[in-house]
Amino acid sequence: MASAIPASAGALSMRGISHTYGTGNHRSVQALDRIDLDIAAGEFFAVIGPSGCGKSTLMEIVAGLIAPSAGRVTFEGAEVRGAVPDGVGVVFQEDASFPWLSVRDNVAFGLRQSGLPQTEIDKRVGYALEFMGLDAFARHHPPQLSGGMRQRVCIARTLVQQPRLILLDEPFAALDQQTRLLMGEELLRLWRETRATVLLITHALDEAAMLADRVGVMSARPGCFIEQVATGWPRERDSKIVSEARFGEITARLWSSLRAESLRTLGRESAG
Amino acid sequence: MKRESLHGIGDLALASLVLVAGWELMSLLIGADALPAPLQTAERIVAAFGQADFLGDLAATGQAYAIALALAMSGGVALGLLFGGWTEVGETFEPAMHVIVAIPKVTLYPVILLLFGLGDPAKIAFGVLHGLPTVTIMTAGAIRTLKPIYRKAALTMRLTPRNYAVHVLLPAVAPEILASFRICFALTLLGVLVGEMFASSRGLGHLLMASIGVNDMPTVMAIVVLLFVFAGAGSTGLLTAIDRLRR
Repeated sequence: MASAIPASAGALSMRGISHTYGTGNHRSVQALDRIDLDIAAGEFFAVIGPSGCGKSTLMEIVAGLIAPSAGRVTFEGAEVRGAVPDGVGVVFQEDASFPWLSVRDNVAFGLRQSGLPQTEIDKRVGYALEFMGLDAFARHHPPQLSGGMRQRVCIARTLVQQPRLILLDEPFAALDQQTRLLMGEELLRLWRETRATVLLITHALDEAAMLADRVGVMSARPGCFIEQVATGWPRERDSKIVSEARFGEITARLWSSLRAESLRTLGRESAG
Repeated sequence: MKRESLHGIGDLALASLVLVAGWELMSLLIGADALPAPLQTAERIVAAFGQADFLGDLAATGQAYAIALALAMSGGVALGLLFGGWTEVGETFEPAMHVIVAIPKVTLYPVILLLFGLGDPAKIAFGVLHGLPTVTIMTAGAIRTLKPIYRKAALTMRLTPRNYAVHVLLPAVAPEILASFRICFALTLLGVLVGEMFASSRGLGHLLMASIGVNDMPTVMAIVVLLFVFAGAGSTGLLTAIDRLRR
């Protein structure tokens, strides 16, 4: 079947991104500190970091859901500020499917709101359901599905929007290890098919090492990038690479960068 | 017909049979003058539907109840959306709703009479006073506990505020609103009837008080059974709707 999803040319740039919650307040918390990052069109970039380092804040800033206290994000040359830009799709960690709608209606939801012709909606939804292996469950409602299936519904809902930049905020965090590996394979297939740029936020080192072209390691709060690791994987890859020696080397390197930061976070939490 | 539906009908029939048998037994024990038997009550109900006076009372109650219910539900949802969506307003005015729910509302009836006078407006207002606070509190609670992820998801799909309200917010809180309607359905009926009992010259509440005054127990039981069946049917219907929404 021919893809209903066009080729993409997304490119993301962050310059001097800092963010403080509760500015001017004695309980203000600085979440991010002067982040600079460029992600090439079609690249799969993963962000890892200790708990509370500002990974999700970074994603929300990139998505336009919150404005940074300082700095500038641009997507395809246009500044991201105050609204989710056209061409950006977001998948959250939490289940964001609407339980009152069937799987098909969930996937079609955003398209219907955008006023696309029904034939185009049917075409895109049919493709996304088949791509995500949901066609047999089109009439089901999310409460009738497993957590993994519900997350597929959310990914399909993002996929039909034909995003050129896909932002994923720990999308598999609530899933078991086996399901995560399989969902990771599906994500890679989605990435290859759509040729979209992907920014994945995760706390799982193995997930980042397996999926990404490049992994950015963030420091403890206030978060900034302390290292970026290029994985060097071919574009055609799947979960079998976890058995390769290089996978172990990448994971070990990521952990060596992250360990001290995680200890800092742990120490702060214990002290707090 | 589905097996679950047949089970449900069977359970209802069995429960009704046990209730009628118990009622018959109680009537035999304490005497039909004090507690008319089921058959005697059924005969009174059939006879009542042939009497113009009774039909007039039924229509008066029905009309007042329909208006009170519409006001309580729509007003409750509107206030609930306001209280739930606007924190400062909710924190200021919602405690008053809790107070109204907590106190015996009959103590407020003199105030209602003072404001609305004798007649239909007073009993409608009293019905609204019974039903509206519950709908307001439950709707506001539903808005406050709405999963924040729905709003984020709506933003990422670039929904307008109107589309968010119509296609996300209202469907998300619909089960809680329907649950509040179920309580409102019974409480508003109670309010209208109590209003008719004390300050009205027509309606089932007035007829009930008049029948108690002349010890016309078959009429009293006929009204009680009619109200019981009506409230039960409404409550069951709304419960079915809630179950469908939550499925």
